[in-house]
Amino acid sequence: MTDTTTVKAAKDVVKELQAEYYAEANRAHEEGKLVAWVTSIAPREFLEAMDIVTIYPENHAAAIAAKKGSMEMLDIAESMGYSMDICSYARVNLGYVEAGDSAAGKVPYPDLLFCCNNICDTVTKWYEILSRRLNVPLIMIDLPFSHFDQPQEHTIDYIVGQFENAIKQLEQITGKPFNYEKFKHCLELSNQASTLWKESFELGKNKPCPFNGLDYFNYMAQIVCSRGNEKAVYFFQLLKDEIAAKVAAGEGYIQDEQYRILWDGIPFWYNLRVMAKSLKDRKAVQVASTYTENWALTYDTSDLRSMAKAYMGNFTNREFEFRFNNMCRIISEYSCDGVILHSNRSCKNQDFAMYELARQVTKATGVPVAIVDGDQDDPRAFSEAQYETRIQALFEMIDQRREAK
Amino acid sequence: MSKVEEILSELGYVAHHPARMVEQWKKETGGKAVGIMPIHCAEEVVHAAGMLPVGMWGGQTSISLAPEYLQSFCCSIMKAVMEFTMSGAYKNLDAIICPETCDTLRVIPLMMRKAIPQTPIIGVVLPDNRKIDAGIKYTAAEYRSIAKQLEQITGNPVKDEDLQNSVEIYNEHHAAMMEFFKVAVDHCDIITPYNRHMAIKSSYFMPKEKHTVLVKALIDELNKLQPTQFNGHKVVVTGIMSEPDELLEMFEKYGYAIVADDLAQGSRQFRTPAPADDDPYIRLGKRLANFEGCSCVYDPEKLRGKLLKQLVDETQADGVVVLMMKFCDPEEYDYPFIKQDLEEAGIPHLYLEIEQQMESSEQVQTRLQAFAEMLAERKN
Repeated sequence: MTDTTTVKAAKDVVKELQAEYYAEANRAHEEGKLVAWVTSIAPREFLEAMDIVTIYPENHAAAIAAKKGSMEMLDIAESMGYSMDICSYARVNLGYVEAGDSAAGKVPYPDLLFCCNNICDTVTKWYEILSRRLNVPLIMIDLPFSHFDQPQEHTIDYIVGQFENAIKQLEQITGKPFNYEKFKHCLELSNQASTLWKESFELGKNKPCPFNGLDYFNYMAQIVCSRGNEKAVYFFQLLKDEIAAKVAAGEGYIQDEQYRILWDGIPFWYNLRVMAKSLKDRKAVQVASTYTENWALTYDTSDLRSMAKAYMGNFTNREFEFRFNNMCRIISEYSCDGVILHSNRSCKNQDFAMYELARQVTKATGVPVAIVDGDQDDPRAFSEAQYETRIQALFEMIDQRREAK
Repeated sequence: MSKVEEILSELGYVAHHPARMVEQWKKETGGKAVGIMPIHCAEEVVHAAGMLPVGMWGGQTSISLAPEYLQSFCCSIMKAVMEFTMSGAYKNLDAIICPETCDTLRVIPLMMRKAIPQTPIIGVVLPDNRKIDAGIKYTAAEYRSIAKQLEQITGNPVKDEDLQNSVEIYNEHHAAMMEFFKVAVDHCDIITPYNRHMAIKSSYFMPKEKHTVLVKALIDELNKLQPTQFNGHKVVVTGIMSEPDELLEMFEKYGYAIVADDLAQGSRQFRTPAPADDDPYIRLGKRLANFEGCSCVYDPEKLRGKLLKQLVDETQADGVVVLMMKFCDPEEYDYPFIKQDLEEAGIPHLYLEIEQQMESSEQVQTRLQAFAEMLAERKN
């Protein structure tokens, strides 16, 4: 466990925790622990309860891209016949499966797979492939897309049925009875971490914004990988305290911030620098992101039905009105001046609602919106010059709107 | 005109005139019509509600309106669907049912609700865990929910006995289609790739009981003829669909016969019957549980390659043509294992990237020609 006697910067702590996490994961097999590969918003509490080490191919793929290693993996996957048109996280990971090492280091191969399709249908296809390629069992948690404001009862019945089925599968795979007592504890820790996570990023509503929202793409690793254990609770308490102290002192990431920006979608992991610079040069700060909000998952820990509802509630699993109202709410609560939407080649689920979302949000709030083309992990889909032109146009629109007021 | 030609001509007419078929049906029956989006949705519920289910698998059109909603990297079928939605081509549909098939089809119904707010867009989300008890019950409940939404449109209840009857009608239709595919193998000169597709496509625009009559008559007529020896290349096709028509004309030009298909628009709709059960909705749930080998239905074992090998063995086909619909995620994910399975089985295959709106057919022609030459060499 990380030293907690002196208060370190959250930025440094998250690095240490991630390093510890990967080191522990890479020792898992030696220590006789099972390793699961898991999707990013899966109910990992079930795995935590059974002491299964969890690895997130999405996070690993993001880290590989951030270390400029994604092209190497993409090439391997494409040479196997995987189309350039499919998700680049999947391609990077399928390439990694063959390569066994990467610019972001190694992760242990899985003994089981745990896939939850609340984020997209792509993960279902990707994990089917992993199951056959690595010959390991796949536990599928299917959280149906919701066409209604509230999920229907028969849908919740189905999800609870799957949770019960997953417990049986875990008992078979581990050869141990399911640890209900630890599970209950994990649910509580998970809720604590999610609450702290949410409370910390909500401090971004302050003016000036006390943090650089881009840092949340790093903090995210902990809410994904450790939600349900003590580490996440420890880290997000530390993060929240750090930010709250800045708010109390009136400190901002940019003291004389000029613009407040909402980011929608997964970032370009291979080029976070450009994202950061284009904002900072204009004294603009990313105050919020629809992406990070996905892990603000709280539910009644004594009720699996409540847990089912929480896990199916992320915006990519919901109908248009939710996505629209959610974005308008964030713009209003965080006093955003502009929105950047990432038309991400890897993420058709978000892309094909994006043009309409941009129109409706601008109409409802008056806030200008820029749609930028790119991809989360495939640098070939990104043009820095084009990005800069779109961002420039966004800030011009924001200025025009201010002048008109 | 021979009887066979007459039937084929009628099927071709139906396949090319969906709007007229809907109009005609409405005029004759005074009933309502419901669009059904790809890929898997039990039309039986619509049939039992006394409505005409109409397949919505895109079509030939220039794309000018759809880019208001969709980026260039959306699949051509959904671009065409959005184009038709916005141009008013679906104005005769009283509702549209959208199954959640892939990430693209998660969003398309949401955009349709914006583009044509006057038309009810009914979402259906079928389960991945379709084989477990909770999954079968959930499928049944989703279809019950569709029935309830249709009842609001017609004002009439969907009775269980009516649905039982519709399930029987569909089982009979699907069996007739599978029988037709078998019989057609002995008559590759008549049942060309194009005619075979017309027989499939027409089923999407007319009541199934009527289509069954036509298909059975076609089978009878074919059975009266002597089987013909086919000297070209017998192939199994796999993918979403085999459109546009000019693609099928190219198959014919280079000497191909399609002896079996594993197309989402074709056999995948027909090959699995609904088993018996007292609850008709459970029958539909069990059918989904028993169904295998589709890119859009959960399959951690990736059985599709095995299934293709089986089809090749049964039909003595020379090879497989993978009709890869550009930008179709589920199919693109499936391809590398199909490739591996076919290569391991020693079955030659051609990977052919297609779009419903083909701007240029030259590359497709060249590849079909080269594959035909390769198959011919293998025979020598």
